[in-house]
Amino acid sequence: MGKSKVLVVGGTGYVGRRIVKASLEQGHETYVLQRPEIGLDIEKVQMLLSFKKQGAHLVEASVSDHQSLVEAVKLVDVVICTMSGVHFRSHNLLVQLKLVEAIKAAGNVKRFLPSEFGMDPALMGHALEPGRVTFDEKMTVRKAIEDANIPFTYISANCFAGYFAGNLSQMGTLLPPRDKVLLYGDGNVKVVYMNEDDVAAYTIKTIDDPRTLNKTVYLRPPENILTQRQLIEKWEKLIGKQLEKSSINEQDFLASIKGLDYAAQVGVGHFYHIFYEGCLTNFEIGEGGEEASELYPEVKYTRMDEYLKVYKHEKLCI
Amino acid sequence: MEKSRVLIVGGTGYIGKRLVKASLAQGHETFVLHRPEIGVDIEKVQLLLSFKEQGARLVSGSFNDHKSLVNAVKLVDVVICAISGVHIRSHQILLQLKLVDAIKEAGNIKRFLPSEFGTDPARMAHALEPGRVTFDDKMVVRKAIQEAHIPFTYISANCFAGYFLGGLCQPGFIIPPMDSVILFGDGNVKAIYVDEDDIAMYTIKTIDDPRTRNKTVYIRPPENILSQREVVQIWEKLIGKELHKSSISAQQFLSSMEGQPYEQQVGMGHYYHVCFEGCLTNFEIGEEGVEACGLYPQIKYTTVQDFMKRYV
Repeated sequence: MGKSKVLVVGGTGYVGRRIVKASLEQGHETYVLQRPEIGLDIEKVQMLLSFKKQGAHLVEASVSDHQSLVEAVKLVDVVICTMSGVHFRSHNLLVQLKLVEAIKAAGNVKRFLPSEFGMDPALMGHALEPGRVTFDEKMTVRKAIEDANIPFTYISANCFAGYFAGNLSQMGTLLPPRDKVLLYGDGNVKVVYMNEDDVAAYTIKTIDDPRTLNKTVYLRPPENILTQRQLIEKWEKLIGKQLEKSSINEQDFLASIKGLDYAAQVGVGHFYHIFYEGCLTNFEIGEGGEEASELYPEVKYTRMDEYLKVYKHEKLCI
Repeated sequence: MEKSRVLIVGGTGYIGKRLVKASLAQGHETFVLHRPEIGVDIEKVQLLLSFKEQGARLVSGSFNDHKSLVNAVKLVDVVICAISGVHIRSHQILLQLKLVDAIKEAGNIKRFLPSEFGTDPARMAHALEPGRVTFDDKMVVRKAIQEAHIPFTYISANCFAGYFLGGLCQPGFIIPPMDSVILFGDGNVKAIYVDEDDIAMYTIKTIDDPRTRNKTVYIRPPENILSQREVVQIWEKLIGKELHKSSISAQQFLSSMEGQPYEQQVGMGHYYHVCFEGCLTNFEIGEEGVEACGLYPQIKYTTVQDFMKRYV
């Protein structure tokens, strides 16, 4: 396939940097938006410079300056937005509306991938407050895209392994528990866990594929469709030790939302839909959707037993 | 040289992560302290895991748990602390006193490198408030080290290139401007700029070197001893354009500090000493000190000109 010119907005973020890397690796001419506002964040500046060293172009533009956005967008065929790449953060999502305006004004963009990369917001109209804000805002952005007739691909990437697998889906930590693990209900609800690098690789595969035009692409690699209990069993097999299991039922889990701060309530709500309702797997993909691992069987996705290996602790250092 | 076992405390920080990389690159058995307090910081957790993939060992330990620090320290020969690697943050420096206590109790450490990596605090007793807090705190740590008879090396690394060169020595900038620059005074005061990766490389060279035992190691790469004006000229040559220059006097600069938030005042005080007083270059290295480039000529340090090419 010929090279595309790709602009990544939010390129220094958690998912964004992986998208930049995947875009370069797959041979696309890659532009990364450099916002003047990041001028004092040394880590972001140095990350941008390392992208440049790897062959990316830095484009200076601000989301609060419409004309600079239009000029940035005119340089490319594809725009990928990865603002707010973390599930729980959502206040940035509506900034994409300015990007939509710029894409509309520029008129040259062949594909726009907005910041999704989680649960499919079109299926979450029933979600609990306040977590639903994430989905409502993503739907607002989708509506603006479709009203403007901008060609799109929505990426429904499911659970990021760094947040949900490394910690055996325990809240409040990112590392696996040593001795005890909490199951949500009976732990038998199916979830989809994705290595973030695979999310990026699949995403970049879709950007110029006619099969994904105006579609939602679901990332459901079959061997990563696991219950929490199955994930834990993989870890137990790796470390050669059984964890002590306890369980929290649905009512107790929901009751725990009271008293939490806003961001934590958003997070608990999302956990509830994933681990009690099974929202990632409790539907069939319809005609508006495609599944990434079927479209791109050449991508060797990371299985969770492979992913978990790096978390093993040597005995000496416990 | 034989491998040393090195524990890096503050390994996910700005300088810390470079120390981990340099320690692994120079073949040492590298341990990185993993504090449980970093809990849900995905960037730090993933950085730690990437160190592990590169061959480092993660050791659990907390400043709030003396025993865990002692246990961590007992695993190694050398401890390097890179806590508070950014110049203007200083409230964490005194946490090192807990590390000193652990090293004292463990009794096995051959060398301790505390978190310095900037201006030599022994020379900054006269420094302006509130910036002097950085130096006062570092001197408190030094005193504790020396009273405990812990073998040490202090690294005086001077100006971090990412902060000072990136901004053409202007506070509040870390990307070079394309149009204009403010010179401090006449811009002719000499300072010393060191690529952070080189700071890490020199540091790891010192850890088992008898010449650096109980010494202060100054990093003064000769080609990087430059005035602000010279730095600007290098940038102008790289971009093929002359910048509009204006100047701020010492008095104007000091006046502008008033009313600024605390951290800003700390940073501006440091800039004042570096850029107006020339505190990095206005002294000769005495018998308590050694110079890193003289000790380790095999290290090809990054020149200012090469460093600045990345911004073009």
